[in-house]
Amino acid sequence: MRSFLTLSAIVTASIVVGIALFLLYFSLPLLEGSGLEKTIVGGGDGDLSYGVLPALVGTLWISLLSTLFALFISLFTSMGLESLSGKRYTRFVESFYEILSSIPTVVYAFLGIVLLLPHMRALFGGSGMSILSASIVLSLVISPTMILYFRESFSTVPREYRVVVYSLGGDEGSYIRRVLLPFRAKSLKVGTIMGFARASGDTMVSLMLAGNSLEIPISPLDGARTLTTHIALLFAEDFDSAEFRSIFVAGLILMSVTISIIVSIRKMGAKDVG
Amino acid sequence: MKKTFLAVFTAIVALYGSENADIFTKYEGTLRIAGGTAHIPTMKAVAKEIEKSNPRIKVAIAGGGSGVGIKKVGEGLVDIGNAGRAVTDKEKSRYGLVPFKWAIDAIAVAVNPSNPVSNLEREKVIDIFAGRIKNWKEVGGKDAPIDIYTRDSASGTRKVFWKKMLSKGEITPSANFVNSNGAMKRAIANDPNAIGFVSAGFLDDSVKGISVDGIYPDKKHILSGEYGCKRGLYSITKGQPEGLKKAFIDYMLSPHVQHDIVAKKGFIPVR
Repeated sequence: MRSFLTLSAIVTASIVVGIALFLLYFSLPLLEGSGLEKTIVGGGDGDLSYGVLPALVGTLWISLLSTLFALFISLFTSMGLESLSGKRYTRFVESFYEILSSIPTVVYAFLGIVLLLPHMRALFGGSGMSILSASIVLSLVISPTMILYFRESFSTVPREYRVVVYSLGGDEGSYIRRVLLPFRAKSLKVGTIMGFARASGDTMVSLMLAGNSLEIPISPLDGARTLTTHIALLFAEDFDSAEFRSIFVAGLILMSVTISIIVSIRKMGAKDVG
Repeated sequence: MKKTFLAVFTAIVALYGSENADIFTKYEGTLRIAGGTAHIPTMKAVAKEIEKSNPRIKVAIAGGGSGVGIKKVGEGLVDIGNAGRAVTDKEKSRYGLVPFKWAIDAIAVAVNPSNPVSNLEREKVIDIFAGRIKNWKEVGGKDAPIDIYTRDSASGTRKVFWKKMLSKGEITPSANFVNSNGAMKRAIANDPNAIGFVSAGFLDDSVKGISVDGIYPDKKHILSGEYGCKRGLYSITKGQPEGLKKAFIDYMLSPHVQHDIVAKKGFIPVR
């Protein structure tokens, strides 16, 4: 039994290492052939350049912006729910976030096309497809997960703490400010990083709403592509082309981003005290 | 009286329809098709007829673009790959692909129906897609920035348009990318300042095709060769087709499909 468990642990771990090596192996011809610099900043001939830098910048823009929006939404929602805790319908309200978190992202993206893009066009002109549009919708995609995570961690604060705050003449506001947020600071960070990880890995929302343009974006109203959409758009390329190879570089970068996120969560330690 | 007439008419249509798809009675199973997105409306109509005449056959149609169609059929992942461009010799020899051309299609420069521009010189089209002309008023339209839409590199429509209309000119990197003819149509229909390119079979009330150098991409100008930006629509098999695959390809080339489906969907039949 023990050896079986050890074996499955080794297999799972070697899959991760295997994927990394696989990506590296397929990226090497491009990295060696045209050099790291060209691969990253681009240098495709004529029709399409294959630089992954615009996609990297696009990924950072969209994930940071959507995490920022989602942090606002989730923090206030979960604090609001906290002040209602103990009420019978709180559980009922929470079940909505569970449903929201399980809706496929393509549904959010489609609703974004139908409901959000016309307004973005009317407000800012242009095609309406932009980093901002994608970030707004993506923030709705990641918020339910973050809300549930925050709620989970808030619910582990002992009930007595609230009683103490109230008996000292405090109210719900001072409980949240003085007890809840400082005691759950770590969980808030971890939840936010998890949201960021989910945002950086999403494909459909950016594919359908960000415009996928190849230029390095400088404002949130510019179109952009992310590393994931870069892969989705180029995977049909000829196997021998530099464009096709560049998706492995994109995958490698994406994997490094994910790994560094996980490492940073580990470093923080997943649990708050008290 | 009217009802009887309708019933008889329906019966005749049903009989006629089933007779045409009759060749499929001896087959069963699933036919997997993927690739070019310009093919999809025609393929769906054909699939519906076949499945109606023989419910034991399922035809699964997916998009992805011409590049996907060629790659998937080459790797044996689908039975038939669709491409809106000719298969290159390299692709043919690597996979042993056999292409069948069943329609001719033009690629139209398309704008939103509310756009007053209805003709552009080809030089202007090239300049617009390269990002050198940025405002519609420079080409006789209203004072509004031009929103450019293009396709990803797996698109056969893009490859042909780039070569034959843009003379391999640059497409600005700030253009928006969409991933099918259908998505292109939807994007242009929703954006009053849009310009893009789409299979001529997809033009309707929601997207306006425009003339280039005074020539509109209609049947007459495509056949006479005056409108040069055209291509074949191909269905590709790995090796010579047999069984259900062969029956499907033969059916695509039959007079019934060529005239009653291909032509009605806005493409030019090859037979």
